[in-house]
Amino acid sequence: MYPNNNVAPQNYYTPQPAYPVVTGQQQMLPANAAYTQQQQPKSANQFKPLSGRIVSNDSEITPNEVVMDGSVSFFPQTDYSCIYAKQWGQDGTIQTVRYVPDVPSVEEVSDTEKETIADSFSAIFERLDNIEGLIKRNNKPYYNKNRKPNHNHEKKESDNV
Amino acid sequence: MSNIMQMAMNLISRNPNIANNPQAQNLIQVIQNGNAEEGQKIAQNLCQTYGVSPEDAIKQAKQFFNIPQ
Repeated sequence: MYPNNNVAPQNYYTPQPAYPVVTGQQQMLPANAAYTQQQQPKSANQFKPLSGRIVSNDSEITPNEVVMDGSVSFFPQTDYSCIYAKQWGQDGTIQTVRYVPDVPSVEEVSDTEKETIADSFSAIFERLDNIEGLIKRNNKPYYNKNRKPNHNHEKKESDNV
Repeated sequence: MSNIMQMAMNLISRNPNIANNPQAQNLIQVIQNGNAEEGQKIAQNLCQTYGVSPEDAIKQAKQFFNIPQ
């Protein structure tokens, strides 16, 4: 198939370099041209990670762990009972703010309120008992669908004719 | 000599680690203003925060800058 002992012709392709080659004194580009990397425009909402780590207590935090760029470093406690927020001050000291979770407290019901609630429920139960009694009285055999016919009543009618 | 000091201060101020650090900016301002009392107070606070005595801090600084003791 190939004229040269079935060996495919080899194309030697030399890709041109993407950058200019300066040979000696000759420059391909003007001197003030600069290859600057295209920088991504910084958006206003650029993600900035928080600094800090989980600690067992406040004394475990060393000054080196608090960043010095003016931002606050957060150190939650292992039991998540509080968070220490530390920031370097202008005077060379570290300001610490301790944040504690706000757990809503369950208000205890007083004894008088408990009695009022019990009285309300007892009135409701009394009415339910009354309703139950009415239902039971209305379910007498007199109103039973499967009741037997009253023969005494029929004989009287026949006697009158 | 003052030109060298000014040049050194300019170089330090241009360092991004210094430029982005509000605390370092305050220190440079204190140095430029020549406020020795404020500078000493800041240095003492830093030593106290790091748990280092001022004498040890000066000793370590001399070692760092290869200044004979």
